[in-house]
Amino acid sequence: MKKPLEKDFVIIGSGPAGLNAAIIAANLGVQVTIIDENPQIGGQIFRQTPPEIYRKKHLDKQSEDTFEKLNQSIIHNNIKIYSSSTVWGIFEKEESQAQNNSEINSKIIATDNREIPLIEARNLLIASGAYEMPVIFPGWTIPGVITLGSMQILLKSQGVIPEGRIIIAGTGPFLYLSASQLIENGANVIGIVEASSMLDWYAWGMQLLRFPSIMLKGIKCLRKIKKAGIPIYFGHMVVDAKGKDKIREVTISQVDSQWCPKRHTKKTLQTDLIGVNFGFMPSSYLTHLSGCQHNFDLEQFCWISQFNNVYKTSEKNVFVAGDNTGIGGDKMASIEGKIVGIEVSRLLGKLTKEKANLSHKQLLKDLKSYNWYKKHLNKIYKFKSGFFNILTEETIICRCEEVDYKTIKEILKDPSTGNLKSLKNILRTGMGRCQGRFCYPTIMKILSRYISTKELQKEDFTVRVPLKPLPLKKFIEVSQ
Amino acid sequence: MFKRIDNFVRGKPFKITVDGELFSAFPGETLATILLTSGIIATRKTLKDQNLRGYYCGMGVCSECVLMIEEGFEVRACQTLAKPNLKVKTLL
Repeated sequence: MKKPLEKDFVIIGSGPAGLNAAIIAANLGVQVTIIDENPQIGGQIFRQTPPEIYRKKHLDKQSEDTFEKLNQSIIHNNIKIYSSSTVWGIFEKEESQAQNNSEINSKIIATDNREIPLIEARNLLIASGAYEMPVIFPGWTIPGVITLGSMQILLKSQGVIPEGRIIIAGTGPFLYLSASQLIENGANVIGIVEASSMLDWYAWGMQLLRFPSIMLKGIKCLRKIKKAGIPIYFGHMVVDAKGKDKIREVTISQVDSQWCPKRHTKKTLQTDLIGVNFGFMPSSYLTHLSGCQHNFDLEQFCWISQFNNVYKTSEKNVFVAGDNTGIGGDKMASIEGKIVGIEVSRLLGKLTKEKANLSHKQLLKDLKSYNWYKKHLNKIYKFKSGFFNILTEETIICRCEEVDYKTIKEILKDPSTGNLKSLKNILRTGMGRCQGRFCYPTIMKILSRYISTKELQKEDFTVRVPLKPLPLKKFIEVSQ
Repeated sequence: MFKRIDNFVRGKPFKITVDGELFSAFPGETLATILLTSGIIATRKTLKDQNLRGYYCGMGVCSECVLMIEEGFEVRACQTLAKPNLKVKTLL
């Protein structure tokens, strides 16, 4: 096996958390290695165009200015960035290889980048962010039913917008931000299907008065949507999508506050593309792979790594920061990244305990002002059980292995097989290309109807290498 | 289905081959961008039910947009930058 490159501080993910951790640690004299799977740094929120594509006009000035500052500071002698590098494995360092006790806790990271096939990380920050919460409906696997985030990524990083009639569906602020950006750039959005009622929506708006900058941004987006004459279907959800080769039409229905469709309120809309977003979900795959302990979050139906006040996980020298610690947005992520950057610098002897404590105290204070916003977001995106009335027996739950609702229910309602592991053994759910990323949240929701909350919280899953699909050739490269 | 907008300046176009057909591409574009701007969203068929699938999450998580690049590699179209003369196959 190849000998891993030894590194003091490895950061996986170059979003706001990863970048801020890197900058603060590098400035204190720590050698930092950043690994990111995308061609450009910035993560999802600061998605950049590649150097070959140049954007003439701003899409979102505020966010672009924030990134520009980070982008300048990240050019640092102490920071080495490996982009287009996907981490596919994280392993324990074998004890026989370790020379003393402190080294036993290093993690070995395997990537698909030939330059860094294996890295030994003495300190590891996992800032893997989040992905879109899959709230599904019959027909969600038809080509042209895509995540709203993927539409925004195409616009931000490739300068591409959808053509034809576009429907935006889901709930929460991201719908309006994306809609306004799409409209501004010439896309034909024909409707926004918002699961929450207009009343809920005003209530949130009023609460946002505590965050004037966010509120102002929201009002700006809404104005653009209104000016373009786009209808917002409040208290509606998509209950069906139809089309064989591609999406042709969707059926929407009025829903109650628990997302239960109301009778005789269905309406069919012709469409060419639908972008769905019900909020975001912390990505726990890398923390699972690192052996960290997780808690199951009953509001968002996802696993979140346990961490302490300096964002250290249950694993020695493994830290987390940003949206994978719970969805809080870029400002929280930045502060969390700084906290980890300071802590790792202290561990590496670049900072005294007193100085580190002082910095942490201030950062935790800054963080507190955003806690409320985080709670607010979680409330908006909270899962509602009326959702089960939208599913049909034939609705595909597991995209990869093509398993439908009826089949999953049958296994889960039997107490002897009513758990994630049995389901995986019997139906292969979670064994396809996405490794359960898009079915586990739904499966856990279904499971919650058959087992107690206490039992549900005990459910966890095992992540296997390779984390992302990987050609065998890459395995061989590493083992030679 | 998707189009490039003028607010972005691009370099000199080149060609890639998808299932034996020539497609126009610009430097810095992902395989997903090239397919979507050419009107192709479905890029694979499911094994069991032969249903069409394609671009979904756009950020390398779902792997629904997998393509075969000629060396026998499966790649995610949304995460892979196109290079001149690249030959790819859909899984249709």
